Amino acid sequence: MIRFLVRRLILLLLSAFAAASICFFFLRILPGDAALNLTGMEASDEQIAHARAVLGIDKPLIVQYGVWVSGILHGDFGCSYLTKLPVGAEIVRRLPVTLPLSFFAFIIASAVSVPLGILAAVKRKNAVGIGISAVSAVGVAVPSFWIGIILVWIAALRFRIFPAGGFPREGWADPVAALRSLALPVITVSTVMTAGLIRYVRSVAIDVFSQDYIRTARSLGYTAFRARIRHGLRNMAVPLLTVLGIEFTSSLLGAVVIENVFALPGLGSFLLQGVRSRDFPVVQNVIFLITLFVLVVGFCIDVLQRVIDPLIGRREANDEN
Amino acid sequence: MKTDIRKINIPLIAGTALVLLTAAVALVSCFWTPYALDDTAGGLRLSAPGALHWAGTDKLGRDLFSQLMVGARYAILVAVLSPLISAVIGIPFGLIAATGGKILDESLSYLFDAMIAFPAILLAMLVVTVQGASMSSAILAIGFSSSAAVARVTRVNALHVLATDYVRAARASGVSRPAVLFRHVLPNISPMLFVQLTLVASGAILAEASLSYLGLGSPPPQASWGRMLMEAQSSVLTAPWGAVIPGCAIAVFVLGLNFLGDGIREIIDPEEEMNE
Amino acid sequence: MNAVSVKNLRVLLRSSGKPILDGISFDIGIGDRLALIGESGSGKSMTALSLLSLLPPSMKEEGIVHIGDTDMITAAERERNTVRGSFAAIVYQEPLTALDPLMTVGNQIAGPLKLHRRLTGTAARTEVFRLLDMVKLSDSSRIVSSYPYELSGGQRQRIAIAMALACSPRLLIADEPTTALDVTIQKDILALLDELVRDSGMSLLFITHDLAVAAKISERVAIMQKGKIVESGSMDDVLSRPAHPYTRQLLDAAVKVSTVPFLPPDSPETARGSV
Repeated sequence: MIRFLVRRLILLLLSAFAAASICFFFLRILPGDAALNLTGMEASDEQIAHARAVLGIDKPLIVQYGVWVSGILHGDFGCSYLTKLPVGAEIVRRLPVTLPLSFFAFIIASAVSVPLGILAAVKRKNAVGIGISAVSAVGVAVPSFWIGIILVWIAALRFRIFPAGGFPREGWADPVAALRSLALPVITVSTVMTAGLIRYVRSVAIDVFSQDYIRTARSLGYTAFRARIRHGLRNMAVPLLTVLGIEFTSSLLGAVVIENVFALPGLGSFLLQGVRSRDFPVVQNVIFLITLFVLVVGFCIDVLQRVIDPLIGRREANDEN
Repeated sequence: MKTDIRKINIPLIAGTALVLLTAAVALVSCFWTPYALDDTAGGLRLSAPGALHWAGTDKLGRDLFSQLMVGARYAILVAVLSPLISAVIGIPFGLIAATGGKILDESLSYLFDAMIAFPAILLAMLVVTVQGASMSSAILAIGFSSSAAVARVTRVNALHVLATDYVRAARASGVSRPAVLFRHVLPNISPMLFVQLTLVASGAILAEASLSYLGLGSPPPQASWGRMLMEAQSSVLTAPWGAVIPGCAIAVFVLGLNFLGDGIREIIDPEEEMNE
Repeated sequence: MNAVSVKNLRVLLRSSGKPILDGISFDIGIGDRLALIGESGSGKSMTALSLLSLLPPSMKEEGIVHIGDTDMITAAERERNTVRGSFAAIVYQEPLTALDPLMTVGNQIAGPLKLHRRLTGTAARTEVFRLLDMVKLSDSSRIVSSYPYELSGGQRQRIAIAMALACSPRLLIADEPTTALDVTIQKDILALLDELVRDSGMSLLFITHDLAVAAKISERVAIMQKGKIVESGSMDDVLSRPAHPYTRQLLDAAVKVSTVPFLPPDSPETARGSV
C-alpha cells in the first residue's frame, strides 16, 4: 500500500509538472509579442524593450519558466500583463464564487442521479425507466449554458424568482443574496451533470444486477429488492466512486463556462478575460490550477478505490491463475 | 414471425435519421438558404417565427433560419473533423501501446490518463489565446484532447483481440505483426472505435458550442449555433425563440450522434438481462 | 408429496414463442435422486432455474411445477421465496461468480440463516462453523473471514454447498457442480455431495453433461435433447439397453473417450465390463 501511494504521488507530481509545462510553453509557441500588445505597433524599439523588461519577458524562456515555477512554490503566481496586479490575489478573490457553485452542483447532481439511475435500471422495460432514460438522453444533448439561458428567461426575467445574474458586492457577507445569485447557476450546472450521471449509474446498475451472485441470493430466497440492496449496492460503489470523482472536476469546468451566462465574477470570467486579452499569466495560472485540481482529485480517487476495494490489485492477479 | 418492437434497434434508426437530417440541411445550405446571411434588408429585428422568416430574425434583422442552416454546416464540420483528428492521433498511439512491450505500454497509458485529465475546453482556451478565436482552433484543440480517450479505447480493445487464440495462432504461424494489426486487430476493434468516435463527435459539438458562445469560436460571418446563442442571450426576454431554436438544433444533432453510438453498441454488446 | 413433481413444463421465449423447454415431465420422491443429462443447449440448466421460478423476464413458464406442496408457477412470489433456500436450494456451476466478491464467505453463509431460520449473532456464527465442518473445510476461522477470491475453486464450491444446505433443504438441485473445477477436485466434491445427500435424506436433482459422473451419483437418469426428455429410467437400464438413438450417441461418445487408457478404475464402464 505504501509503495502504491509513493508511486502514485510521484506520478501526481510528474503530471503536475507536465501540466505546468504545457500551460507555459504552449502559450509561447507562436510568434507574437505580448509587449507589442501593450505598446501597440507604432512604438519605438526602446519602448518595446522597456515593455519587455517590465513584463519580464526579455529573459530567455527557460528562465521565465523557472521564475514562474519557483514562484508557484512560494505562492507567487506572477502578475497580469494587463492590470499588473498579482494573479494569485485575484484568484483567491474569485474562488468564493466558483467553488460553492461547483460544489453545490456536484452534491445535487450526485444525490439525484444515483437513485434515479438505479430506478431507470430496475424499471427499464416499463414507462418509468424509459421515461428517465429518454429525459436524461436529452439532458446530455443540450449545452449546459443553453439551459442557463432558458432558466434566465423563465425564472429570472419572466417570473422574477431569481436574479438574472451577478453576485452581491458584499459576497457571502449577505448569504441570502449570495445563495439567490447562485441558485440558477447551480441548477444549470447540475442539470447536465445529473443527466450524464443517470445514464452512467443506470448502466452500472444493470451490469451489477445481472451478475450471478444476485441470482444466488435469489435462489436462497431473497426478494429481488433485498438481493440487490444486500449485494448490489456494495458492488456498485467502486465504479460509481470513480465517475463521481470525474464529475466533481466536471462541475468545476461547468461552473467556469456558466459564469458567463450569469455574469458571475468567478474564476471562469477571470480566465475568459485573460484569453480575450491574451494575458498569459492569467491564462496559464488559472488553467494550471484547474488542471492541478483535476489531478489531485484523480489521485484521491485512486487512493480511495484502493482502500475500499483492496481486492482490486490482488483480485486481478488471482484471476489470472 | 411477428416483428417484436423490443428487437428493433430504435437508437440506431433514430440516430441515423437525426444525423442524416442535419447533414442534409448542411448540404442544402451550400446551395440555397432562404436569405443571404448578411441580408438585413427587411429591417425586421427580433421578429417571431412566421411565414417570411421561418425562425424569426436576430437583433440585426438577419434571418435566423438561414443562420441555422449554415450553422448545420459548421456542426457537421466539427463532428467530422474532430473525431478524425483524434482518430489519426489516437489510434496509432493506442496500437503502439498495445503492441510495444510493457514499459512503452505503461508510460503511454500514464500519458493517456494524464491527457484525459486535462480538460478539452481548457486546452481549447490555451489554443485560442495563442491563435485567436477561430473555428480551426476549436476543432484542433478538441480533436487533440479527445485523442487520448480514443487511444485508450484502442489500446484496451486491441489488447483484447491480440490475446485471442485466433490471433496468437496467426502470429505463431508467422504472420507479421503489422499484418496482424491490419488484418485482424483493426477490423475487430472498428465497431467499438466507431462508438467512441460518435462520443467524440457529440462532445466536440457541445464543446465548440461552448467556445463559440464564449466568443472563442468562429467569428462572424461564420454562423455557429453556439454563437447564435451568444447573440440571442441579450434579447431572450423579448425574443426567446432566438435562444430556444439553436439550442434545439444542437440537441437534435447531438442526440442523433449519441443514439447512433448507443445503437451500434447495442449490436456489438447487447444489454444483459437482469435477475428479476 | 414428492420433492419435485413436474408435468409438461414448457419454457418459451416471450418475444418469439420459441420453446427452450418443450414439455418436460418427471418426479423425484423424497430421498430419491435423479440425474439429468444433456449437452449444452439441451435446456438442462434452464430446468434447474425454472424449478425455482428464477427465469429471466424474457422467458415464460407454463405447466405444473410442484416443489413439495407448492406449485411454483402459480404461487405468489412471497410463497416462492419461502421455498427457495429453505425447502429447495441450488448449487451452480461456477462458484467464483456465484459468490459476492465483496462480502466475506462467512457473512454470505449467514445470510440464509438469518433469512429463513432467524439466526443472528453467536447462534449464527456457531451454525456457520458447523456448516463449514460439514462441507469439510478445515481452518474455518480463517475461511469465515475470507473473501471468495482468496479461496480456491474447490473451496468456493464447498462454500456454495454450505450456503445451499444452510437451512436443511429437502431438495438439492446441483447444476453441473463439478464441471468448472479441476479434475482432481471434481471427485472430492462429488463424493462430498453424495455423502451429504445420503446422510440427510435429501432428494437430489443432479444436472450434468457427463455420463460417467452421473452414473456415480444417481440410480435414475433422464436424458435431455433440445428441450425434451427423450429417455428416462434406471441408470443400469438406460446405459446397458438404450432405447433412444440420442442416448446411444451419448454412450458411444463416452465409450470412445474411455477406450483411451486414462480410465479411472472405478468408472461405470469398467464396472460394467463394457470396455
